[in-house]
Amino acid sequence: MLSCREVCENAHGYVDADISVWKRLQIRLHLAMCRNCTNFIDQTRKTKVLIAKSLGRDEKAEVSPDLMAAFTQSTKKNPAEDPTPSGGSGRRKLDDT
Amino acid sequence: MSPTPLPARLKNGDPSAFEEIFTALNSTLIRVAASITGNRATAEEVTQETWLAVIENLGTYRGDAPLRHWILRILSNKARTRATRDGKTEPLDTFQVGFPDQFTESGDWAVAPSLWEEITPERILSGRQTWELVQEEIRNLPSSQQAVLSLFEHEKMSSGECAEILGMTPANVRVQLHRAREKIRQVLDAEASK
Repeated sequence: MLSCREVCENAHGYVDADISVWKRLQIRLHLAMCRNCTNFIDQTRKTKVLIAKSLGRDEKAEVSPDLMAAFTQSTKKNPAEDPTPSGGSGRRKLDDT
Repeated sequence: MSPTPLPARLKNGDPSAFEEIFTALNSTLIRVAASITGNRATAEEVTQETWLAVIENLGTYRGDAPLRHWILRILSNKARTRATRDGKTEPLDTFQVGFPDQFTESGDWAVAPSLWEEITPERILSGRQTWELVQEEIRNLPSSQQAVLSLFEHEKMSSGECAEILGMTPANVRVQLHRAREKIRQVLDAEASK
């Protein structure tokens, strides 16, 4: 059976469902008998949820007037295209410069 | 009638659609760019350039990947080009989070983990709501870990997709993710135990 240390080392993979089925079963077996590891997995799961919620509350940036002007000018210049294959966009290809 | 999808609203020049995607994604873009370029000011410049490229190339977006992923890929390419040009890449951190002193030699718990009761985003810990504490701890993490958290936990990308955007291996993404999360778990545990 896995030791508590081994369960702890695999806790993040377990909450992400990112470990092998065999390892998952071993952890479940251990958790059925170990309250300490159950608490640890619960802490790990809550941490994951809190991180996602905290990132979702990031201060909201506002679009600068220049960027919004660029958006409105570009879409006026290049209105939504014909979705058929023959409807070419005439726009330049993405570059990375 | 179902609402018009965001990409179509953008292509139709709807300003509220642009505000919506900008607001939702801008901080993630800056975090990812900072991770790749190793410099916050450069990251903000690259992010601005990315938005201009998005505007310019909206017509080429075909919906093969989610819009947010398409934008993140543009950013990733720009940030990598910039990092190469500037000769700057941030080495992956060596910030370690282990489990010291928590286990006996036989691998059993030496100090039992507490049961976190009623730890909610709104609970007050050290004078702040829990989510504010977590936000601060995220800001204190190395930029590579902040970027991984944003992509994996907020954008719900897989470790493979995160790796592609950040130029890491999927295994490295998982290591960064686990270290970041473990660091924050330890801070929360210390606060919850006070």
